[in-house]
Amino acid sequence: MSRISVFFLAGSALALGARAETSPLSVLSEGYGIEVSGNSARERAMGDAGLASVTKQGPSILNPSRTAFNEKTSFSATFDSDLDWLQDKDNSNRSTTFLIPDIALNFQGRIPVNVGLYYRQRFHRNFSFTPLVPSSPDAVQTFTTEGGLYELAATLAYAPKPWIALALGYNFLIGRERAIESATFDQNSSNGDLFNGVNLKGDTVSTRSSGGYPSLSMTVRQPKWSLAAAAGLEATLDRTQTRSVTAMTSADKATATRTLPWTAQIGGAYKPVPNQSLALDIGYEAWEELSGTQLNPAFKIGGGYEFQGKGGAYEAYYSKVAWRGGMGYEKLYLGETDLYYATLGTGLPLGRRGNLLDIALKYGHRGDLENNLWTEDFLKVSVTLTGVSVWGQPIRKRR
Amino acid sequence: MVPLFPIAFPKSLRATAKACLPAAIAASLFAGCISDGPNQTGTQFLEKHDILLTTPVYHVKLKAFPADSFWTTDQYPDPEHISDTIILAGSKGKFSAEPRFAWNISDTAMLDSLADGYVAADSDKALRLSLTSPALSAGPDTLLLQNLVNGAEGKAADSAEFDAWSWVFDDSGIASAAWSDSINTWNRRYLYNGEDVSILPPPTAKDHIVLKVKEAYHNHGLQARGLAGLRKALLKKSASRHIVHLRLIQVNAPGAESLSTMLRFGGEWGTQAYVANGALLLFGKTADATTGNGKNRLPTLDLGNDHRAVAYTLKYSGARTDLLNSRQRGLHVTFDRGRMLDSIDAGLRAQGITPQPRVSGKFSLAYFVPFASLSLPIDTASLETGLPLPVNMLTMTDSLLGDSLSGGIRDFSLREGDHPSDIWTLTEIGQPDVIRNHVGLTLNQINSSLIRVILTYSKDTVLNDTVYLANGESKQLTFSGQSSKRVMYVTMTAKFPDVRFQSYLVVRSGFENNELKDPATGKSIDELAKKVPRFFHASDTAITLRATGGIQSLLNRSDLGTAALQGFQFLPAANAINPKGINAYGDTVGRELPFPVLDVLTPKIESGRLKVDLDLYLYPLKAR
Repeated sequence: MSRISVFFLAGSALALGARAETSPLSVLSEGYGIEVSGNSARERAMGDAGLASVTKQGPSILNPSRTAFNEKTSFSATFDSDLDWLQDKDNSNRSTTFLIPDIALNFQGRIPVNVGLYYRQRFHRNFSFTPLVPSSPDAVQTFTTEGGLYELAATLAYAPKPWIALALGYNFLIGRERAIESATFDQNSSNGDLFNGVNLKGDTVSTRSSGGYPSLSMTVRQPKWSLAAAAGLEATLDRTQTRSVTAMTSADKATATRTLPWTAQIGGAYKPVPNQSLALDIGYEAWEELSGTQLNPAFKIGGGYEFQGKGGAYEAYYSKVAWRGGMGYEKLYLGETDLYYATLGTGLPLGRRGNLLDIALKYGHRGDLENNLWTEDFLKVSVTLTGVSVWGQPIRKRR
Repeated sequence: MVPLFPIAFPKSLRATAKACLPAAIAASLFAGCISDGPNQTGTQFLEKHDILLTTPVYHVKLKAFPADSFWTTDQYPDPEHISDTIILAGSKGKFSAEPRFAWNISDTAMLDSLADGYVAADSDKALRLSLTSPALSAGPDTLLLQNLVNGAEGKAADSAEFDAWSWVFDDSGIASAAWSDSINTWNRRYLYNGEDVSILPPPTAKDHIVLKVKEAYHNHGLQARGLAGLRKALLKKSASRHIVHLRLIQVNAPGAESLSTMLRFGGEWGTQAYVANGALLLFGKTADATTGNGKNRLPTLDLGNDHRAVAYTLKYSGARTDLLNSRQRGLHVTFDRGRMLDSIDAGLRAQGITPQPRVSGKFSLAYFVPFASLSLPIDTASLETGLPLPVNMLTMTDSLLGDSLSGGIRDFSLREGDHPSDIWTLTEIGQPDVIRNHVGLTLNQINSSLIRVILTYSKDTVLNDTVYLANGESKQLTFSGQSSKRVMYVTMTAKFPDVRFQSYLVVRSGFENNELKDPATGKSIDELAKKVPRFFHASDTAITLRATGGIQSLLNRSDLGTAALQGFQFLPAANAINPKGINAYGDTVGRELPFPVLDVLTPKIESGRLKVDLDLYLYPLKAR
């Protein structure tokens, strides 16, 4: 794989990122879609926890302060693939999706300062509805929503002392979302008039938004334990909505602002022995409960375990492999939806420089038929490829 | 190539990527097999959040809904039938037609035939007008022809009398270079303009001919009649080139309720291989024109683009509000948008449905209209061939020139001597500040019974036009602004000493789709009897046409009725049927017809009010 191919892949990732995990929650206009985890496959395999679990290399979008302890410049990209199984009282549907949720570059200098550049898909909308047996054949209604909210972030992490690191970042938000409602009227042969009707090919609301917020994070590191905290301030998004309807001369435009709430996350990690870690994260998102909407404050807790093989350069490969597991619970910010999940994963070293291939497998269940009118089971495979470099390092340290 | 970032991946990473590739492809294929296809899950969830509608389509019928205004217009372009395939002459019911022709005699040898005979031994030195009526093959064509000739009542006269008046010009005294310009000038006056003979100068020659009517289509339909007066006029300058304009003016015409004398002659049809079917002048030979030598027969002047110098003026003396074919007069109808919305609301409430809220702004996205039809009640109908008449629905938006405040059609009066130079302004497309022409009017009273109205353009003076009006007469002028879809209609009504003008501009128009599908097969319906929404049958009491696009525009554009009107025009098709294209007579939809068919539909107008039926399907759109 050449370097050119790597960057081509990264570019493709941005294009492919528009389609991801299917969920009916995507349709709720008061939200932004389903939130994508900012963790890499390592943390995902540990129950989506590991905010405070310091590593030698690799970026951390959620806790950039951790990267101040990095030894090398690194690049990472995560790939997600889902198998979603949606159910309601009458139907079920299976679909597969693919997403590249984040790409990151971390430049490590001679001093313990790390500059990070991140792309992340923060939220995504991906849901379509096309009934094969419509309840009202006079008008077969279909619905599609797509797009999401994307982040570009720049962070500066600094470790003034070997035991503490701080980071400051600014996150730019760019939103591109579309909700398309269509109806066909020419499907019912028993309705002579409408059978010759004009179809509504797309009542489309396109939303473009932009904004930004500063983020802060801190990590305290000790030989046996570490603690971390990260927060993002509230962001105000400037939104422009355009509504266009096929066969109608209309392009209504409206501008408005909407807030993205502040978020906070704390995490702890404990190493009972040098090659084993326990991690626990707790997060909170201050979504405001507004009348007539499905918004609610979001909460999550996740915990996991990692066993890192200690094999040396001349020992068997399996002795160098890391093994991980975890579980967690989330209260999603839309519709009081519960999410339960369990995770497994592994970390595969690639060569002696510290390149890694982390793989996580996550099974999750969310929603219930009584309250949400649907449930969703999903199996998600996440792969994070982390490459390291000596770029930015002193000459004497290069190998 | 210099790498963008000096990140070196080890060989083992490359190896890993290569190893992963087949697995990734296999996973993708596997994933594709797992997917169920279209997602059908979440109906209740989407219904709960008003994305899917539990009652998705409303159906409202508005009976006897009053039109806000209605009027008839003759279709643009030119209703004078220049270079038509078939030329009409005579009268039938309230229709009367006056044909006119132009010949260019550039070969003086033809005039020699009149003086000396075509060949030395030929004693025939007559000049004849040869006209050919199309004779159709047997079978259903014959029945159609009988209907065209006799009408449903079988009332055709044996013959019709015409004065054949000629205006003859020769090139003596005219420079060769100016001859063509002179011909163009004469053509404009005698051929293109439908000026009445009362306005034209006295003719050079007057002849009188009698043409067969009932038997006109027999034996190839050829009729040749002598023009002694014209012959005499031509021989006065037998060494000169001549341009001849001739028109047939019916004399002793029967009344509207009497026998039909309407004849159909080959016009543009007389080109190329069928030149003998057109109007010919025959010089000194009596033989059938189809077998004659080209040197003794002269087709009408070639106007270029294979068009022949033939035309006719068709007049209709019935009510102005009648829909006509083939004069192509359509009926415009407009509606009060607010009243229609009120009626829709009432109709929905009667069904227990809460109407959509009214919204302010330029557009209203309260409803999407998947189907709408408009039904125009017809009082009486006269279909000349007896075959169903296709009627189209043309929906348009009319811009109200100069009267945007009240939203009415521009309406004003002028009188003798008035000559305003800036009644209308034509601008470049998309550049309202760039004025192309100021269009004005000049009125002159010719005599006690005639007034002349000249339409004047400030720059493009070649577009100037002239209309003559008798007292009490109403005529219409159409002119195109920048494109064929932007047409201005000006209706003039003379009431001496005043002339009333009513004008409006169609800025956007289009025909409603009337190609219907069979619900059972999904295929387009081409069986005549089933295309009810498009064809008016003799037994019908209303024309019902699809008006989806027009109703969509009316309901979704909130400003219609204030800055512009949404118009609906019932327009009979120009050509109804093609006897040569008929496969199964009466059962299939015909193709184009070269024959003008004189159909009349009289809408039901009670106490000056027109009411129509509307059938509307409404899909409520959410506020989003």
